[in-house]
Amino acid sequence: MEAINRRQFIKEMGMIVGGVLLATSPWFSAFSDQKNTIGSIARIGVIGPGSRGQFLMSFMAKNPKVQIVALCDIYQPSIDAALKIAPTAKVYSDYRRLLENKEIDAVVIATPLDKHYQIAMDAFEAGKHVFCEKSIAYSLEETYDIYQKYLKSNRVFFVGQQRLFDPRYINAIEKVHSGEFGVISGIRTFWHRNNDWRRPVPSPNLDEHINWRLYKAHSKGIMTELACHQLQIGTWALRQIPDKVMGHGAITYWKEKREVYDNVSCIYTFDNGVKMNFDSVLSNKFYGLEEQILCSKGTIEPEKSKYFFEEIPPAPAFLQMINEVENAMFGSLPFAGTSWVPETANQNTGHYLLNKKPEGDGTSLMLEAFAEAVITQKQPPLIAEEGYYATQLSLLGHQAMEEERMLVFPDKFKLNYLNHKANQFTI
Amino acid sequence: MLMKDITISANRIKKELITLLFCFFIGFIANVGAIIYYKSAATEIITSIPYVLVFMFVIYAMWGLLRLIKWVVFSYVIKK
Repeated sequence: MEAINRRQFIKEMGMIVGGVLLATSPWFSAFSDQKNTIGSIARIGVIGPGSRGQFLMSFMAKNPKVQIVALCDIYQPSIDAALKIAPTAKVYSDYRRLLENKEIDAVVIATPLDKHYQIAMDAFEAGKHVFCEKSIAYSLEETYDIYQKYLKSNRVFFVGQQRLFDPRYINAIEKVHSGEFGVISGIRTFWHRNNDWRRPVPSPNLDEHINWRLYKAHSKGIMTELACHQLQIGTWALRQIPDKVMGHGAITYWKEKREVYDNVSCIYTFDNGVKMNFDSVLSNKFYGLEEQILCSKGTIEPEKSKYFFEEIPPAPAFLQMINEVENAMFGSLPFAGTSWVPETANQNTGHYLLNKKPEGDGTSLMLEAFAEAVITQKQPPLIAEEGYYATQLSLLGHQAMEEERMLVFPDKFKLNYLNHKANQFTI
Repeated sequence: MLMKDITISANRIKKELITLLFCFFIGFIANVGAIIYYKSAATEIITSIPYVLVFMFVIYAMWGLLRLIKWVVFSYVIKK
């Protein structure tokens, strides 16, 4: 794997090196010691090498600075598949034994959501650096406890919010923070699919184990699996944490053996009245997923890697003239269709954020940054806090839907971050 | 069946080219007028050339249609 050339990366993204960039993305500081860490190895244990865990392993296995030394799972097919990626890794069936292994520097936690808490707490206790897949934990309290444990541990803590490392998103947020697009008036996020999330199981008694995302005991469904990615874009772009959330969720289509919602809609409200919406329907995929950052001077859609200015140049004068003549001649005809030339403006097809198509979604860069951080033992800015609030907001949204009422972000879970001040009576 | 040779004289080609040039000139002047009227950028004199060329062929085709009608009227209506 080639070392990441920061200068080239910035050049390709057309960004300005400066304070704004440093403040918007943790990747820049994560790779600051990249040359000094050549030859060093981060020894990593993967707890929960299921489909997501193997996906993460596929990137780590290509990184010369990473050695996957241990695997832990209770499902043998996952172990067998993971061993194909890391054949020399030692296999465990109890994560506590893995944590006792002094040769392991860090752990990657990719288990079902409800298992994150105990594993992450024990991992910090054992002195390991932690990469935890999003969402961080199953409840607001657990998430808070993990964050506090991380603070006391002096270890590195990454959350799988890969958009923080995605060149499209870094570029988009850079543009927003530069003021080029004016002020943010609203954020619309949506993630639509047309499938039930159910995976085939070899025997019925394994259903809850494999399809854990569909069961309330293990997951909060759409909110913890999808929304937490997109809500993080809102806090990153606005540099604010929303104070209130209301929403509604229901099971409207995939009704068989499903406990979590397949149809949700949430509204998060910021201090200044700006709102961030999150919608997800799992029985229609036409609009797919996107985060639309609506600003006074333009709109950014980072997933499509595009931006659109509100003011667009008018059509060439010659076409305007033709259009007027045409309207004067045929405009009054009731059956006349739309003009064959633009009326007063060009169609707003927007512009691309990057000069070249980005490779991947930031997951590879995120894992490389984690390896760098493990080696240097330096925590990059934002990633733990952005991950923390992404999880808390998704959990709060889920709670608002369950209780069918508007919820205010609880003071006791606030950190000293952005517009929040930590509760003085907590740690 | 024998094919009939059609001979287009140099004079005829010259006449058609001048007609085409005249159509282009009309389009060009219309473009300049539109730029002034709509207060657009002067660079559109160049950047709108493709539209002017399309306009030129449309005008030329319309002029050709008029001449065809005139020829039909003279050849089949008035002569008979």
